[in-house]
Amino acid sequence: MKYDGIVLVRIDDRLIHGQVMTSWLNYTGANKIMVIDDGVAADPFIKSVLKGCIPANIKLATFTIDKAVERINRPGAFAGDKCIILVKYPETLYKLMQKGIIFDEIDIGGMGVSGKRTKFFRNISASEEEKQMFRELIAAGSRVYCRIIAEDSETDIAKML
Amino acid sequence: MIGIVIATHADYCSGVLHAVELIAGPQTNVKTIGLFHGDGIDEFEEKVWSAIEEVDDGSGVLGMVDFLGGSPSNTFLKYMRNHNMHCVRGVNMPMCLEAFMSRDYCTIEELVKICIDAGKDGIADLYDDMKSFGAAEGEEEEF
Repeated sequence: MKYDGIVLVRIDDRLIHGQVMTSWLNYTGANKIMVIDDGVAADPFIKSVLKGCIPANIKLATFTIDKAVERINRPGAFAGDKCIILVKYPETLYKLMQKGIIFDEIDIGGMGVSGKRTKFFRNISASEEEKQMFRELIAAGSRVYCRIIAEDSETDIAKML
Repeated sequence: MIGIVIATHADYCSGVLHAVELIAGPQTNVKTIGLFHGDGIDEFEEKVWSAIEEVDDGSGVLGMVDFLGGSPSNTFLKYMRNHNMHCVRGVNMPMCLEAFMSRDYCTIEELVKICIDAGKDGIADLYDDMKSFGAAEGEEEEF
């Protein structure tokens, strides 16, 4: 990763759940989880639930997009850490890109059917707008792939859009 | 890899394995045997006993059953008359997850303890959990 110490950047509309808690924490050995979501950041109840559900040896904090930009841009931001970044929607990563934060890898872990979304790979769905965001993220240098649990192999989505 | 045989009433065994695989990926060296209405007990025992042999790659096998005193646990007890083997009862999802994720890295005796600890720790009142969660104010500053 371009940003030292970031071990996974994942889109997952459920944020913290079994697959993340078990498979990904185990695989990455992460000691930090950074949730980036303006909605969650404004909801003290959900924030405390997220924090309370993870093992005590892992630090979790929820950031608004703007606060995340500041935190990630800090020099040596995650030096010595293993940090997982979780977002609910591609739009969050798209907005980060517009603010200059481009990750070299993006994992799509969970995007369920809702609203204008249609299935495009296994249980992963996206709307046309979201597909366009992926195209632009890829053009900006991110490799975008689906990998639901760590034990799965990666499937690059560039050609499916 | 330590083999695992899960024997229970009905689909509980295959259900818990499916749930584990959703999270931890497909598993090998495991067999599930469900006991259903009308199943002959001799046949059931035979299935469990041959499963124990089948999943053993030389690292040994751990059994899992639902509760003490049911046919699945009786079947393992019968097997233990002539074999030394461990079998945990009270199989549940937290126990299974830990078991499948640990079985490559521990001895059978360690695995038994891991299973019992995880199985017991997995049971609590979510309401109490919620009450114990601290406020998340200012968490970004110390992150």
